[in-house]
Amino acid sequence: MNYRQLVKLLCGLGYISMCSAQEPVTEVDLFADVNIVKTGTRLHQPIMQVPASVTVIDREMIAASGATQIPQLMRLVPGFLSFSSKANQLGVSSRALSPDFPGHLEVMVNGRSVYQPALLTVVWTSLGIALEDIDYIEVIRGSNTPAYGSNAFQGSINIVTLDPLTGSQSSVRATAGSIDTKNFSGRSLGSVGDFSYAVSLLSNRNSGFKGLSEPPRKLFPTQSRVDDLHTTQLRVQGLYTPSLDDEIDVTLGLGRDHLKLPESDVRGYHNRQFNSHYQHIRWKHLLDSGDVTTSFYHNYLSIEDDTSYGLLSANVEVSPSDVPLGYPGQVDEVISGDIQDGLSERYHLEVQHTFNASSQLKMVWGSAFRVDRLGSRFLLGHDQVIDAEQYQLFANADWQFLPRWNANVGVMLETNNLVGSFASPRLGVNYQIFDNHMLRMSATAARRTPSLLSVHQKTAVTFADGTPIEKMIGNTGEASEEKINVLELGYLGSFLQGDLTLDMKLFKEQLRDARYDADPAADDTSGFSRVWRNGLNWDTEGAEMQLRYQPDSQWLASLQYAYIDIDGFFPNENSHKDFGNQIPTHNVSLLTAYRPLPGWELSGVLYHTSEMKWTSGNDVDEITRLDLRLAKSFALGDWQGQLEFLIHNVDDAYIDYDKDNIFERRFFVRLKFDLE
Amino acid sequence: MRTLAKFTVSFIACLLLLCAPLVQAKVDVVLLLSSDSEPYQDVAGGIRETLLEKYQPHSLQTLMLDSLLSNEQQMPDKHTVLVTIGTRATRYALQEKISDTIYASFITASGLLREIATDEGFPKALKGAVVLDQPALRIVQLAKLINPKARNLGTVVNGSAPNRLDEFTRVVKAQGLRLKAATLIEESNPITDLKRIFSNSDVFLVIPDKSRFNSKIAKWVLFLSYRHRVPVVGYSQKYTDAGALVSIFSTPQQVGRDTGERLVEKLNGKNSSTGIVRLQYPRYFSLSINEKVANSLGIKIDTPAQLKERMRIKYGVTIKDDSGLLMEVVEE
Repeated sequence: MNYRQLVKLLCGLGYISMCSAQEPVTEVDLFADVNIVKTGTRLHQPIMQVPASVTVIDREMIAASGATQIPQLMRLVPGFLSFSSKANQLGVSSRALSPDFPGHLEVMVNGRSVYQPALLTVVWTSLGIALEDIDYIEVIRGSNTPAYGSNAFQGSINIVTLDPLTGSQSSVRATAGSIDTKNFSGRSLGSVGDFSYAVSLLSNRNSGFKGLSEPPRKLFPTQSRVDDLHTTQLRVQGLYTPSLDDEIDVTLGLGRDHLKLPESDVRGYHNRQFNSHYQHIRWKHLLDSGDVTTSFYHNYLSIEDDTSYGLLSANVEVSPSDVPLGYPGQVDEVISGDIQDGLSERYHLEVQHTFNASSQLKMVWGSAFRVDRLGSRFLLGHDQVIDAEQYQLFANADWQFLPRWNANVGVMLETNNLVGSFASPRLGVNYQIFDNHMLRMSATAARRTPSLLSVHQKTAVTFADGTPIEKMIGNTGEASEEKINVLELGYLGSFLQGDLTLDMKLFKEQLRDARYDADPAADDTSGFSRVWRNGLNWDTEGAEMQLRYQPDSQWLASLQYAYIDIDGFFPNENSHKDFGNQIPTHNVSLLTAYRPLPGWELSGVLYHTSEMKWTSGNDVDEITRLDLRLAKSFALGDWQGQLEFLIHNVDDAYIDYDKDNIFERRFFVRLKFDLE
Repeated sequence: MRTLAKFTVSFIACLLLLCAPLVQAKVDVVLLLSSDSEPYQDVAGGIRETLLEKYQPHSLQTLMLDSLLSNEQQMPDKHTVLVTIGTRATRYALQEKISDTIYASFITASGLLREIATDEGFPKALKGAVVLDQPALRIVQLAKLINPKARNLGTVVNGSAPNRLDEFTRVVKAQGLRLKAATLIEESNPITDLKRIFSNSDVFLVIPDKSRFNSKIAKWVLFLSYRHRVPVVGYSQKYTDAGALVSIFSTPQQVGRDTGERLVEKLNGKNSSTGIVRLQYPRYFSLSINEKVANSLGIKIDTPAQLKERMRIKYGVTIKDDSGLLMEVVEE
């Protein structure tokens, strides 16, 4: 057989590519990564090469947890706290002081930041995401500013929703139970031509902490003090792939929250409405090696408050005729909640380029432009809308400089019209001791811009003409970035053919110049009772551990533990007040799920948090909480059903954040139907 | 007496001639690696281990292609047996004709044939090759095992390089099944085309292509696998980790061991050259299973070891592939 015959034979056998001008498939192609998702560093990386501790909460864990709200899931992340400063004002924090509005974590939905500049935090009830919409949640435990900017100061959370191609064709969920909970959600998939879409609708309703339904009232005894919620959210997610190289995602959302937020015994509650909408478009264009992704999003939240607090004289307990004595030129008038109306907006445009510079070097770099807008007479003392423009330039690289050794280098450069320019670098080295066992060391020096509100805040209760009645929180006019230096030593190992994974971390954090609302200085003549200032410092040391064991499809266990030692002071002209236990020393959660028979599932989560003092709340004793869930799946025609019984906090009631928030035992029944 | 002396000399001469192959000098073997990265080192390790255990060459040297190109290492002698590991090393060895006896390993069939096709004449130096691809028959048989009721198998290929579609079409047909295939070009809407394939398939086979094409379709293949509840047969551990129900592949260690064993057979003269390049599929292979995917698809699937055992029992130890190339299923 000669050469021509051989080639002809082999062409005939199907190896046609050799006869074309195309490059043949090589061994490199067969061993290449199958890049489905990017991690918290913006790169396609195996978890063994990521320069940070990562917790992934998947659908199985979400279901087994029996959670009814997304923040509850954060208890499955070592060192993370989930709390309710009001029944429906939910918060999540990690190794940060625990104000009503925690802002040191970047929370994203499919990469879209959902932080609200007006409220200095995330409005979890307005996310527009039902638990069933979530594919998984990826949490970076520790500063991730080099990848995602200022707000990822002490970590980042990315909630990844199901794609319009995944999930059931149609699904409906209904949950009913304690605190008058009535939650409904539905999701349906479809396509129009080449365009695939998913439509989700949810309606959640509850009456908040039970104890608050009973007054005592001082001034409005007939008005019961409540903290209930009714939220309605619509979400449409679309997907279009015009070619092999292009992928376009569009997400549109619209929502309305009616909340009653309790204030104080005197003022009763805010009757507040959040109107929100958002638009997120992302275009990913694949290149020979990597991709270019362009994304734009806009978040809008308006706050409407129609609470009437009654006459000023009644509020300050003076006779109406005395009002002009205290406020020259003014007369007694009804104090209306509409002074708290406001709007919060974020526009964000971003381009990033991911590529493999070589087989050993993966890189991503990009740039973003962001505008935050804020308007509120109550918060700012005027009616103008203010904004902050911010530019970001970022780059992250993963370099395998030796077999089994990876270096991760990243930096985020940010500049804005609040504090100027600053950089947040990170260097990490991962060493694979042997297969599936990795040691990691990283150092991060991150910077965080103060929020737009904390730089411009001049919160006051005013007369209708704007004259202040009570000045509450102001600012000194000075602002600088907050700083954090982090050292981490981590281990990630996989045992028993991957059935058991162990993630451990030792860390040391130095947080400097944190922004806080302080007592005004002695020479401060602004009249505000509190003013924003940089200068809070604290050091944190500790250890985290996460162990997941899933020997088969019947069993799942996941144990999370964090030990945290915090040392810091509230600076004050007169004294330094020790932080004490502003962060709980021990924080444990254990999730277990067992499927004894086909269709049956029993699961539970045990949480334990040692005693602590909430910065803006109360001292609370150690909390041990057990949630249980029993689920039975069944078929009903073409529909797959599941009936669940949930008990939250099987044992005695505990105080959640505030002495008025008594978390008693709660019962829920949840019914789900899925049409495949 | 003279007769006895003549007889004795003749007898000794005959004895020496008969024993000549037994005392034949061991050859020098050089391994030429395309890269010093782990997979290539693992292949080299497998070859080295097998050669030292079963052959003991006169010398065994390992060279890096980049070191050769930068003159950090010396070019091997032309009479050494050269084993090239990976496409780059094979291409260089064939183009530069650095040895009279070349065995190629850890290269795909299409990659090897490209190197042959671009050579000006028959590459006489190339004496044999162990390729990395899995034979179509093996993949189709695996698909039948994970879904015995399967009638239609689905796949997509890259329009700019149709690759192994003809081979799969023939093998699938020979197995009494039908292949639903789509050819995707750059302008194709991958979701639309894949939806059509998935809605008519019982098992989806991923035929490995250029990594660029593989990554373009992997996400949609895996998403639609869930949506249509159709299991996917992938080609690597990473594909299984990403969401394929099962993958079939040969590890670098397995390819190295296989190459070493075939080389020993050649060097011992047990497998003499027939004048053509023997392109051999790897005898050793692995299966990986994603149990989470199996659960979510509601599929009860055996362990990899059980699946391999069933393949061995059902399809035999040695099978003649439809392509005419020898394929063996060997238990490790």
